[in-house]
Amino acid sequence: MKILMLVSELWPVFSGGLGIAAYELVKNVESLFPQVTFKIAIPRLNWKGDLKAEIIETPTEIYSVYFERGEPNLDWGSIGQFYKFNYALARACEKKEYDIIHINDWMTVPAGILLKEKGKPMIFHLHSTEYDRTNEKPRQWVVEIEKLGAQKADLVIANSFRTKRELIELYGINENKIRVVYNGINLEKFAPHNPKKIKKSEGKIVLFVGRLTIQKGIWHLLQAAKKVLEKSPETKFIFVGKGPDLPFLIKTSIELGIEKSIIFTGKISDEELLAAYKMCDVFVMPSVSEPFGIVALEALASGKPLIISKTSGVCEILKHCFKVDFWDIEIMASRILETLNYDSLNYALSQNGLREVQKLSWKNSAKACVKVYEALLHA
Amino acid sequence: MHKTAFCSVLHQPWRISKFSFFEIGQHKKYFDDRLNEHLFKRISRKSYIPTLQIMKDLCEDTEFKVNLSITGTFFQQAETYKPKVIKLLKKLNETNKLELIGETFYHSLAFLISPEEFKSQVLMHRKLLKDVFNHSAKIFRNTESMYNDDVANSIEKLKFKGIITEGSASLLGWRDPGYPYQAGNTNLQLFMRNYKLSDDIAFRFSSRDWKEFPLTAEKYASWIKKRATPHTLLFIDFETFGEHQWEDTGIFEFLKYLPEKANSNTGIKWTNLSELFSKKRKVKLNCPNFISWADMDRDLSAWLGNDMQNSAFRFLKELELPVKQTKDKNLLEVWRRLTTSDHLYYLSTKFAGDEEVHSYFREEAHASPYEAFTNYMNILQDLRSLVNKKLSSAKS
Repeated sequence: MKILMLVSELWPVFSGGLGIAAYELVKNVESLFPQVTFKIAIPRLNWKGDLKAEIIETPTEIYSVYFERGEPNLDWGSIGQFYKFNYALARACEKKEYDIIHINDWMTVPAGILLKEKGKPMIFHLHSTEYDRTNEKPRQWVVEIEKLGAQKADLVIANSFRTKRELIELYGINENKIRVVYNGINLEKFAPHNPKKIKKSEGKIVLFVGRLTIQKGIWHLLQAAKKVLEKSPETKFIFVGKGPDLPFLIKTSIELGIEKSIIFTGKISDEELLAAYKMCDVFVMPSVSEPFGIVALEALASGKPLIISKTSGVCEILKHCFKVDFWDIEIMASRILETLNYDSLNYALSQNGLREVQKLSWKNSAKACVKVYEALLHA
Repeated sequence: MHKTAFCSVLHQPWRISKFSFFEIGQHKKYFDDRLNEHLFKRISRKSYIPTLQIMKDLCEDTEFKVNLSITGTFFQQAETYKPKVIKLLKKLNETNKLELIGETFYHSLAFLISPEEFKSQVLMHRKLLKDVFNHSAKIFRNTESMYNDDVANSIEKLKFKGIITEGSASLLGWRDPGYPYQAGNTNLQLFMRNYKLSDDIAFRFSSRDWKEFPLTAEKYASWIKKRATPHTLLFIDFETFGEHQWEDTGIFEFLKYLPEKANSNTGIKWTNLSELFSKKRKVKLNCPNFISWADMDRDLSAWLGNDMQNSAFRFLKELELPVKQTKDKNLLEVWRRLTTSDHLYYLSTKFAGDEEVHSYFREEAHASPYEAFTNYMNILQDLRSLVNKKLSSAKS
């Protein structure tokens, strides 16, 4: 079974969960199902800044061939660049041999549709919708592309029931066409074995990881931080990640008078990220809107207690964590304080969470994904 | 004639409020009146009222007899929310076919808190039965059948004649629960629940995967008849009728027809527990380790099986003396309502089979064991601050 996967980013070059999801899925499907092979088509910028598409043949190394970190990313806000890239992608793939086209998110929809016209079935895999990404202020042209992709696809994969519901309600997609394949987690990478001694400052540490954008709910976490600090002034709040809202968030923390207890790290290396997970005492994902929320699984796999908003996809599959409404500042603060103050609670959450996350490996996602491929070919 | 004792327990805990960390020290209400009222009324409508009505009719019209454990917190809530339930219980009592079983008033973990507290709660319950039903219980059952030799010793000192516990394999070994046993070194007769036959009604009645489905009164009576032991003790949650097993499963019809299919003509004699006392020499069973009727483990792990449960229980215990030192009746009542076993049961994080049962009982009060823990701990913190205030103002 040959799969042609079109994707706009691939680990380690990524700006969100999509690149990790595509990488882990391909890697795990190939290791579990030797009969399934992939060709991955990704965009590439050469040193002049010109755009072209590149095909990576697997099961060879799938992530070592293309552009380096730090190079300029594609400007997905430009409709011109978007279509140019998609035509390049379709051209690069048209002569290749494959049984199924597997496209990921709206960025590769036109290329998928062009290729589908040559007769092979197409799967549209949604890792988020435009509504999730833009805090309910979607760009209309992206909405149209997303909807078109879902309509044209033979089967649609949603990464949670939450995303599935959105596709049904917002885009009117027939629910029989939608399959749910949850994201997984690389357990070995985050496993809390041999914890390195990390010198900790006084006070407990609350960690956030994610893009600094409005839909991540950071503003709400800052409000909760103020309440936590009133009871427990030594607490530190670390925000890992970059994003357009940084100036606004700095301003907010100064207005709240808590800037001394807040650390914005910006983008950090993988190694530093693992250290951050290790040193924190509780992880908070306060997202206003989160199609899945892979960082929640990373925190659990690191053996840390977890507080997540109910408006996240990952909320559907987890039991051993606190679930809060992102707007309920007092409860969010209360849960943080309780997790920091009651040792037996902290221990129970981290141990049971770690146990729960073992079931959510990418192996299971890979199995679910191959089931979708088989359903499509045997339909 | 095979003697069969039908026993059941009527209990409701005072469920606690959602209580955040920021509310510690504000002394707001600990118990969720609205939720307690809502649940008590619902369960009364679905279960208590129709079932008690059926039982009363059966006791009047057939050879059926019934044995009930009624907890103090159940009685308090019935009085507050649905006095009709008490009226029905009194009518059932008037048939002279009801035997009442001793308990701790708060259906609590008092035995694990202190001997004094245990004694107080047992005597409170004894007084309740005397005042309301003019009944003196001869047989005792500790909360959720929690039992070991020490419980038996304490209960003998409180002048009971018998004690009920789980017919657990760890205690019985190869023996059948349907014989009279001697409780350790006491003179108490030990009554063992037949959990197989009890759970056939309580858990398996409506299970379509069960090979005996559907369970008819006739079939069930034939199983009892087949038993070669002197007696059989059935003990099930009262809410089995109409709440755990809904009316549309046919559970009420089952109950109505059971005495007809199982009566002296067929070789079955319904009994009150006291009729099962035997003067013959009995096999002595020693029970050094705690057993109970809960979960697959049938020990204390349903209440004290994880760190959260142990730390919360430790905190509860630590408050006993300070609360009593205040000599404040209201504070003591509040603390005692917090000793009810359900509060700790909700904190269980067992995986696999038992998880479903715990969350079934928990979910209307708390979203998860973790919320159950924080609400409970925050309330205990608040209670501690209240107690400390009282004590320091008394000093000055």
